[in-house]
Amino acid sequence: MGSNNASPIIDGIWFRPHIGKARNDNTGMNTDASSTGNSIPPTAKSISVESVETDANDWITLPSLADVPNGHEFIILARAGANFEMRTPALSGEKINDIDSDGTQEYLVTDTDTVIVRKVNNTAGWVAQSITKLGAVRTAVIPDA
Amino acid sequence: MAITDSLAPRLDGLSLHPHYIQADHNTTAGTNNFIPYEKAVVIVSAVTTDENDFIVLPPIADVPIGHRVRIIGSAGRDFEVRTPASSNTTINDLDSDGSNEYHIADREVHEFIKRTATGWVAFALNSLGAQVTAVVPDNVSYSPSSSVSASISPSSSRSPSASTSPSSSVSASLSPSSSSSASTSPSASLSPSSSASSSSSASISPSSSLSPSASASSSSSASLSPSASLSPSSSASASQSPSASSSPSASLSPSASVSPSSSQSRSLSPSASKSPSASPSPSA
Repeated sequence: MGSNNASPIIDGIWFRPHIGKARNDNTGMNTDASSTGNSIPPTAKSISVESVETDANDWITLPSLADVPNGHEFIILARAGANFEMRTPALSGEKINDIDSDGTQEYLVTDTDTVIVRKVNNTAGWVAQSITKLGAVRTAVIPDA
Repeated sequence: MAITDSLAPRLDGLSLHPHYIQADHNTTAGTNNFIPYEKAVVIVSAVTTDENDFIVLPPIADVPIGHRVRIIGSAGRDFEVRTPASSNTTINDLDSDGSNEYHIADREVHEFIKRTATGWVAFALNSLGAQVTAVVPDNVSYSPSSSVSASISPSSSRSPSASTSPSSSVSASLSPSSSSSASTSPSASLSPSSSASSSSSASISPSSSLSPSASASSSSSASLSPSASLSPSSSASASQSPSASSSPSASLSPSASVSPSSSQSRSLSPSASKSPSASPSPSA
């Protein structure tokens, strides 16, 4: 790493993917290949969701907005073999694409898509954009029930 | 160093040295058109011969899942992107190890993400900031063409009336949408209104209708009436059909590039290029 402390200038960077599994509870995920959690930790930059516990109603959970800085970004690779949902923490009232997505509503993640998620701020919440495996940007996903 | 956890540092900033390479016809790993596996920002600063020259992504096994590489076209010419020869590695779900190639137009910014153990997904913004229609790797050789081919995507919204407000047809829709079509036609826009934008393909339309007056080109979102629209961003329109659309199909039309022409519009929209002519809009 560069010598300029908190603002390094480097040639490249890799992120170890966090391995996840969509499920119907909230369990932390990590970078172990055997990880089966569904809650994304605030430090994760690359998340690979590799299975669902039951069906397309299973979900993964974003980190609390308060735990990440504005502008924070990560990607989610949908590799579960089935669609799944993306939520904000239960009862948080936090939004995805300007809609409360803490469980009453959810953002549909289509299998094989790549989702880029960015924090705007604590009020506006997250903006998420899905990209199909063909490289096309999917029409904005509106979280729903 | 204000970094307490070396595996998850919290930084004030992070700069990545750009890696400069030149598109060429080399197929031997290690030559100047190959992207080293550890590079994250790559500037293609020149082509050796022409737009058929290519650069090569790193072996996919050499990088972790989710790895991202940003490629910036700065060669003054278009060029192609391949995966290593005989690797059968895909880009946007199509084998791109030489039989097919992924096209990058000059001045575009492309993002490549390792999506699976055997494939990358790639998407891009053009020089105006508009989302580029999904690039379908093909085996079409470059053939210069001056055609301005106006792309026509499904939704046309043509605002007939000529209002004066340079506004930006922010299009009706309420729902959030992505389509970032940026039209560039100079003149002032016509009524903000219209853009009935019926399309559902919103976000994927190339729309960049870079040709002024290219007219007919009505990209999905909104008001592209030739004369219309203002500056780039304008019609960033949010048009979006309620159908949160999940069908990738919609706008994807694999039929790619109708005219690999040099002109901006390598339009991939289904109904692509309905002829440059297209009628000029009622306005201006």
